[in-house]
Amino acid sequence: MEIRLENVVKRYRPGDPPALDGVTLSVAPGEWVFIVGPSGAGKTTLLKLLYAAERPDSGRVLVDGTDVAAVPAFRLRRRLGIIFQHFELLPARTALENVAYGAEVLGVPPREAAARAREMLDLVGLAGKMDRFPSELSGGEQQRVAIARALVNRPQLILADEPTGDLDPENADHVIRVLDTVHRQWPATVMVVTHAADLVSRLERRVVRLERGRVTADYRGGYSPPGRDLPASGLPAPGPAPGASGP
Amino acid sequence: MNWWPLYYRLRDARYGTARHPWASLAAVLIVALALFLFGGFLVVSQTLSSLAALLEQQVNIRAFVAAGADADALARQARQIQGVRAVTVISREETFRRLAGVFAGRARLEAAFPDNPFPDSLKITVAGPAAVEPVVRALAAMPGIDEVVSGQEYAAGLLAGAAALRAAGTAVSLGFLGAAVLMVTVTMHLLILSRGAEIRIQRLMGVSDAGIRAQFLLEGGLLGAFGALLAGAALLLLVDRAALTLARLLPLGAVPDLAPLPALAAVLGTGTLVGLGASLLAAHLALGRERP
Repeated sequence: MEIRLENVVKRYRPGDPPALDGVTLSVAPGEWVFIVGPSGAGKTTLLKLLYAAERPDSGRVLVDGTDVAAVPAFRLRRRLGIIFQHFELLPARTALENVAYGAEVLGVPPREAAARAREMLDLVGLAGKMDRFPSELSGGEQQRVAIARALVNRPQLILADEPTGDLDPENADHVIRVLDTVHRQWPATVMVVTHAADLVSRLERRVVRLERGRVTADYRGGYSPPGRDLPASGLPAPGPAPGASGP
Repeated sequence: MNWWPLYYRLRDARYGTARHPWASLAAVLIVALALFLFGGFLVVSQTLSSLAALLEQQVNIRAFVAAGADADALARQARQIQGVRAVTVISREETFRRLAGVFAGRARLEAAFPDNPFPDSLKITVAGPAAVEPVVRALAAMPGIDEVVSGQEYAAGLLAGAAALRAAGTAVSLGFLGAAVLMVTVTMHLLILSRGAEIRIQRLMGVSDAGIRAQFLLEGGLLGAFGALLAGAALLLLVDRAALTLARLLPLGAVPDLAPLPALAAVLGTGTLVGLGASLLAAHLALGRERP
């Protein structure tokens, strides 16, 4: 699924500094992109625009060539898999039921929903824990259940907002490996918002850096843009980077 | 047609109400109480109206003969009145005998009234309901006639009573129905808030707002319908008892047909509407602010 943002501006309140300030960005179908940057840089806002939880004040957000403002949000979301830092699992349902629920809400018959859920749980490495309740799973396992649920309807675009934010390094690594495995098996476009510098550096994928609502770097490689050594948060504003365009 | 969404919604409705069983039960009971009152007033006013209509159709008039007057002579005179089809003299002994037949303890009645207190009377049958009023006037004007009683006199009173009851019943029922709407709204609001996680997941998976609201409309409608079924059952019981009592109490042998079906249909429909309306309101209040 192709993504294009054209000179997108988003303010939450009139008079406030923009959360996104003239962002232009293209992501090819099947591409994996990390969105990085300090807190308040506009990373989550960018994802929210993609799943139509927010609307841009100006500019256009195009998903597969369609302006997201022109289609009902629910139609768009049926083609997306959305993963959050907080897993949003239903505590009274087992891992299998949680994943199947993602299909059931769209009217998939119970048997097919359960089959899809088993397949996804197997894919994320939880085949042996399908009947466990969330309280009986570790944080990393719960996040993998949430990933399985996000994938159960075979989305063409996977949006992950800090999927490892609540996890220890070992579980964070496991979750990113799961997403990587899925991406290798499945031609979905993946956008991951993260602060996990080591994970970004290890995967060597495309990285889009946002600061103060602007794209300040767009490159392939580690967490830091080539030639600069940056911490995961609290960055000074760098100059424009090759491949990125802002106002 | 894909029926699975309905299956899932019914399943989720069961889970949802089980999470707040007391609130759900309270909502069902308040709906049942409100609808029982509403239905009760409907049945009673409907019964009074049909009784009045029945009495208006009565073509029999009863004229009581004054003490010392000649009943047979008065009967002959009455036969001359225009519109009168037949006149029968009912002696005071016959009246006493008929009344005694109604009471099981005839011996006690005779002991209580050793001197028969009833007067002779004339049973007058007229050609049609339209003739009742002029014949009553003519009879009342006859010397020797003490009192004239017709079904139409009762009918006027009953119609006035039915109108007053309908007005009072509407006011009381509206008050209770308002309370029921409030109770179901609060319950549905609780149910919606307790399912914030499900709603967020549904929105993210691509369920439309209408689809999410439909779940709660179904649940509210079911709460209302359960309350209405309870009220309907209680109403049927009431009507059954009332029919027996009325058969014993009514004058002139007139027993109205107690047909509770229209009232039951109104109760069931109103209950479901109360549930639907309340959950629509609750969904508007709770989901309007929800963000994924």
